[in-house]
Amino acid sequence: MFNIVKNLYKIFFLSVLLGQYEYNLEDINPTSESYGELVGTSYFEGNITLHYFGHFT
Amino acid sequence: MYDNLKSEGLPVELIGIGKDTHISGSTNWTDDNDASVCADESPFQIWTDWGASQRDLYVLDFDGSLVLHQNVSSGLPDNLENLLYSLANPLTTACILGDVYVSEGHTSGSPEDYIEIYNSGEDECSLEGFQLDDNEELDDFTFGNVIIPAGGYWVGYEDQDSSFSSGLSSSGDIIVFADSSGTSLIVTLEPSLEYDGLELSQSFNENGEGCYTNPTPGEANGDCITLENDIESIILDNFRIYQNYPNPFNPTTQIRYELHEDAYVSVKVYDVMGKVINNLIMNSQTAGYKTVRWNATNNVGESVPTGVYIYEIQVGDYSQRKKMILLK
Repeated sequence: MFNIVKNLYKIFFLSVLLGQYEYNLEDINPTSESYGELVGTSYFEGNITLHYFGHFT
Repeated sequence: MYDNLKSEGLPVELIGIGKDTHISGSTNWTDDNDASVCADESPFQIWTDWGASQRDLYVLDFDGSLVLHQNVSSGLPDNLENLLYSLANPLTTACILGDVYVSEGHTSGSPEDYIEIYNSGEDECSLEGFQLDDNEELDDFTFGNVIIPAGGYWVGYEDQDSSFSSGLSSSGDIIVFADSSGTSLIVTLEPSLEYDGLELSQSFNENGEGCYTNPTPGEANGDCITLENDIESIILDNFRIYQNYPNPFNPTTQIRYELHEDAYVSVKVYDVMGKVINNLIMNSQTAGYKTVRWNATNNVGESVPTGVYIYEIQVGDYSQRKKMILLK
């Protein structure tokens, strides 16, 4: 229970620090260098990031 | 386009975000590229937070700030590639003369001649097109795209790559620092002076006012060194000559000197070719502080052009010279 609260606090503070355009999702592209890792805007900090939204169909 | 940008080394990363949880469909996304691909699980938190629709493209800059949000159903924006290039290589604005200025110069000894430029502005800037010379011809050195950080320095050593080549005279010289429009700031270097076995440099503030300091190329200038005793040793016994004021000047300036005894005095103005321009004083004078004004005319009363001039005071067998600058 304590860990859950702690993680919620972490998420809250991170979201404040990193602003609106932040997320963490698993990279499922096996040919990507970050395959299997949680990626998002801050993962590629120091880079220009393009985020494309679409269906997998 | 993404692959091209990556191959050029641009710091660009692409993330595809799918709304469905049917990962099997993601092979359409991953077969042909190495970009990150993610599935946003129900209830599609990212889409909701970002206000995204299907086939929306978001571009965030280095700071994570949004610079583009566009639906790309009908194709990528024409200017997307240029936008990414400009984000990756932001243009640095040109320096402003005055914010950047000559902060130190060194005329001889070790280290060799160097000129230091300081950026007192709040932002980094480019010196591209700025010029350096030891005369107003400004044909010695033109800066390329040299970026000088806020509060930072550029230091150039004589004859080194991407630096000036006109040596600075140890008997006194000027440094002309001009922006790309030709507007210039000029500082006057006094004759070299050695103190404690070290050739001193001369440091300047933003107004071009200078003094002798220990050499600190690329670092904050040291305190002015007061050399009253040492200066006395280089002053000739029977007179002392001071830097003209104002300098640069237009159209008149004052030349001050001090006679320690009654003497026959000659004060002359020369051009840089060594030709006498004006005989200001040629008579016997009593001891004391003296001032003579020069109104930038020659011996027949004609105005002389902008340039560097030298004034010389001769007392008996001794003489001293200093440079002055007429700027019209």
